[in-house]
Amino acid sequence: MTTEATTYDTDEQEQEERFAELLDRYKGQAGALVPLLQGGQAIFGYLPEDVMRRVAKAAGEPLSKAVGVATFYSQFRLRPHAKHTIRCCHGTACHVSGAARISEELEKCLGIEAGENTPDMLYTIEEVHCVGACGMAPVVMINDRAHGKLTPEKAVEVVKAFKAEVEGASAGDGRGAPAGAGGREGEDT
Amino acid sequence: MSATETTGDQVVTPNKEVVTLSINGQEIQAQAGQTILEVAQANGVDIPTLCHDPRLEPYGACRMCLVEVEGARGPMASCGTMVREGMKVQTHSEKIVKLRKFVLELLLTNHPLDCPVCEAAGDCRLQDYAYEYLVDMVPWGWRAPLAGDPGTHPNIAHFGARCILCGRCVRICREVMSIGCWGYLNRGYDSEVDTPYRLPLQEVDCVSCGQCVSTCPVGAIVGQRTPGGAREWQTEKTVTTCAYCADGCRQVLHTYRGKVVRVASETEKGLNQGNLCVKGRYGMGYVAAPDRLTKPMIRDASGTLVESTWDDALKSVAEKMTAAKEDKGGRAVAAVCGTHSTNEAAYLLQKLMRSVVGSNNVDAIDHGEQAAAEEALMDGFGLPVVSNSREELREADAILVIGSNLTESHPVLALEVIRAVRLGKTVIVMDPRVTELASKAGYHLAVRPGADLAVLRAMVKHMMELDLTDTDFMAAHTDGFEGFEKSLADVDVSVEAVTAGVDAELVRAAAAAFGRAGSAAVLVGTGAAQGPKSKAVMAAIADLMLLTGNVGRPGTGLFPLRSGANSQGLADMGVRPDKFPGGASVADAAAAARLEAAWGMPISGLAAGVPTMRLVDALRSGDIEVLYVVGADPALALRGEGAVHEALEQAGFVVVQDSFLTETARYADVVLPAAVASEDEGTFTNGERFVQRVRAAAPPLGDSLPDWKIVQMLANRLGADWAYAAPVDVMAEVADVAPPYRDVTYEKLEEVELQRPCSGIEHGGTAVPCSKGFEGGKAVFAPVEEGVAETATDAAFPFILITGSVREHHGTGERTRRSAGVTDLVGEARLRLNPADAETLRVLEGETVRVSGRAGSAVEAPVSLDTRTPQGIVFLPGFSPEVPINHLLGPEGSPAPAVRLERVDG
Ligand code: SF4
Ligand code: SF4
Ligand code: SF4
Ligand code: FES
Ligand code: FES
Repeated sequence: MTTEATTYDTDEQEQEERFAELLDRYKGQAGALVPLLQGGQAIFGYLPEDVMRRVAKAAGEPLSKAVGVATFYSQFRLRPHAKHTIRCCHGTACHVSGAARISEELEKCLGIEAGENTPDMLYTIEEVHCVGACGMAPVVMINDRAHGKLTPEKAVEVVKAFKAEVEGASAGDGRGAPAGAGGREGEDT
Repeated sequence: MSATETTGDQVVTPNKEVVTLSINGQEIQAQAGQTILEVAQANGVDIPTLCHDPRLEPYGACRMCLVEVEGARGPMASCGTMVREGMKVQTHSEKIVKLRKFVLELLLTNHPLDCPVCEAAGDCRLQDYAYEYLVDMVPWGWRAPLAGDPGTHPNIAHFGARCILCGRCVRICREVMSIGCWGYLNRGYDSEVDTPYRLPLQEVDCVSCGQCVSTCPVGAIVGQRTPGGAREWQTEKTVTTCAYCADGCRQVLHTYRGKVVRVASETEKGLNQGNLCVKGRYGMGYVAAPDRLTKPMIRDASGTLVESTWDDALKSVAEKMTAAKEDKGGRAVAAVCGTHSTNEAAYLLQKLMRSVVGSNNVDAIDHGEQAAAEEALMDGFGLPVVSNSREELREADAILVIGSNLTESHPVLALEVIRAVRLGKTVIVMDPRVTELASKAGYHLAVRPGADLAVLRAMVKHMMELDLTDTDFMAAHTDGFEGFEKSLADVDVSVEAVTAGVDAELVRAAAAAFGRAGSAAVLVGTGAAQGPKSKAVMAAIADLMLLTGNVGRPGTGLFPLRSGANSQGLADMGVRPDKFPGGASVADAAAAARLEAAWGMPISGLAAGVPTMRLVDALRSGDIEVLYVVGADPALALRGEGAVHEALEQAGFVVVQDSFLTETARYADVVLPAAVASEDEGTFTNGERFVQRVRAAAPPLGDSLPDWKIVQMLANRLGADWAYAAPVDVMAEVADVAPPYRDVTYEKLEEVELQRPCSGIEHGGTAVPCSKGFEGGKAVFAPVEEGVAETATDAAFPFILITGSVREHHGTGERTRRSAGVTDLVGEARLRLNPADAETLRVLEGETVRVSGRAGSAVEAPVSLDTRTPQGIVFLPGFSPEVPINHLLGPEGSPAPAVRLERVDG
């Protein structure tokens, strides 16, 4: 399913309980930082600042180290994640076949920079390293599905089609101002 | 072992194996365990480094220090490779030079190259090596990244674009400071070094020590640009000793056009090895404060201080002193000396008082906080001084810190304890508050204020129960064990623990850990060394050391902490009402005769003088008519619930010799403008008894003069014929009359930078004064006293008020309050209050409360909510005239006062 998205816990109290339990389990253990970050992210979907602080404290590490680890591994997210992730591959193969232009066009199309979420929290763009489909470079992944041999125009088409599918499906649940309508501030920094 | 084990002049060399290797064909002897880099540097071979700092563990990231080792598979990082027998090293082969050039080219490819405006220009490794290796490329497609803005910290600027990712700041803040403000962000090409979330430094626990500034090899972390700043090569450099706390850190003052514009430190030099604290690095602003005194002043008939000449001012002082002396004798005159007076000034001051004025009334402003330690150690060891140094501390397996918020009061000495924590050694902190060290240490005994004695009783008792005593040591070196043992007969560990408010099992565990340590040291701060039971506390600590044989061996020792740069020196110079220079009692007729002969003036038969602790009484009773205050602010420092004001008001004649109009100057009849330490020559003796040079980096401001000179001028007005041309002449005399200083000369200090006076017990000036035995043969156990010195609180006065240091300020704050680098961080004295208590009182962070004591005195201060302060206790520092906390403290020797807090509305 192309519209498949990550599921989150919604019950805040339950999240808090699970997190407290997690911190307790690892308290005082050496090398607890990575499992704590993974656990925290599994509970909250991403790693908000206060979660980072509590993780660092439980692991007995400075916050700077926790943030360092969390920004080193691509598995960790420091920001809430939009429902759907569009990953532009910037690995070597994709890079030489024009990934930069593709990214640029998709950013324009959604009105956000790589690493940002659309204001409606429906889409996010990420720049990633080789996704293992060099044969069809340049590649864009939408959620778990790879789209290859793209041109900037094709990439925009694919994304637009995906948007139509999503927003059509969710019309009426109140979430869906079309992405890109959120303005283009922050585009030219 | 790495270079972190070496300490300047005193390399700790526990019989290491010698290896022979060759570097660039030259045969060299080295110690096993040294790195190639260390050996090369020691033998004059320069190897470039970027990520290396001897204060840090080897890291091996930058690849600048690569060398070729015959037989090795590839080039080796010399900073992390140990020397081996027969090793053949090439440090500058063609291949290596090429590799270094490549490293430099890569770094320069995305470096801003904004050297013309970079604070580090002239002191930048990237510049140095690019020059040395002639890396003159203009890289393809090169576009200068902008350095960016310097950030909002008042002292420390961060320009991420200049960062070469050597990781030194990251590591120094974690390894040395145990804080961790800096970290890496992202990975690979996107890697950066910054604070978490790029927060301003002030928001990430930064203590503004500037260690990261001192280690950054480029201009990425530098001091903020100051208006009077100058390029590195435009400034003159003066090596001197910090004039704040007793740690005695070595500083390098940079002066430009006669003004101190920067303070730097040199890695691997001095006791501090290049580390400083916020005061030492950013607390020099007072030197150029707009209210520096530049002219003598005399109070006129209308009660205003008006500028005058040295001649008139000295004449007026001399007349009053002479009159008082003729009227009532020399003891109607008293001098009190601040802790940043040099040894030379202090010596002359006591000589003036004893030989010219004819009075033993000469004392240090901090005598009260030192008295208990000095007396108890004298009784126990026959030695009133610290028995060890920080190198010894480095070897200790266990360290007990009592009554000191060490990271605030002695920020650089504290790094040794932090290091012990990091190395997994036993660290025990006994303190009512959850101090920074307490939260990092293995054991925190959160004793109630004043109940330290109960914990100590419990600890020694438990050690005896577990047989953790050093019976051989006791038999050979101590007396009085029976009395000591008897005094503990009825002690019950659990009962004592309850009295102290500490969990009994925790006390037992801490006692066992301390007792089992191969070597253990104790640091005692003023929190335990003041109060009604202070002498008993000090005696119990001395017992603890004797019981476990932790005296006179490496890694052991008892450190009574002193608070001022020259607190120890003042005691050594005889700035004590009952002690001559060198420590002999004023009742010692032979010592008096020797001084008389040396000084050519009669001093025999003078009664012991009035100690600072009794000064308030002596002023109020009229026993003392003329008070001569040198570099101290008794109006803020003397304790005595409102009586201080009255005492100073009542004093017949007050002379204030200082660089500023202190609070005491309000009462002054004459004010004499004194130079600051960076305008003076002399020596300080630090808390570990290292004598170090103080050097002038600039001439005295205006008509101000160095203390020693003013004292000499006054003495000559009073009829003496002193002719010291410079402080060096004074030190020559000190060496003659004060036995511990007999080997101290400025020439020697030039050679070795620091020197310990011998203790009077043996003569080598070695690091462990007790190692060859005790004065009088044996150390003496004191019976452990009963009771504690707790504060009686009740419903009307429910809080216990404690005081102490904050890292940013020193003492009564005359200098730190005038230094923007400090006040921009901590401007006002705040009352620290537990959030739960605040809730009960319904006060919010920043609201002002009135703090009143039983005697009716009150101060007002804004509240700072602080979980480190337990409920029922409040903390106020003593550096602010707006919050004169001394008015709330009972006379010397009273317990911490009980106070009431009330909201001040509006
Ligand atoms: S100034 Fe000191 S505490 Fe602050 S970031 Fe630098 S090293 Fe860390
Ligand atoms: S800021 Fe300076 S010390 Fe820190 S990593 Fe960058 S270059 Fe090294
Ligand atoms: S105040 Fe003390 S710790 Fe700080 S720099 Fe000066 S001597 Fe060192
Ligand atoms: S480089 Fe893009 S898939 Fe491999
Ligand atoms: S100094 Fe040796 S690798 Fe950086």
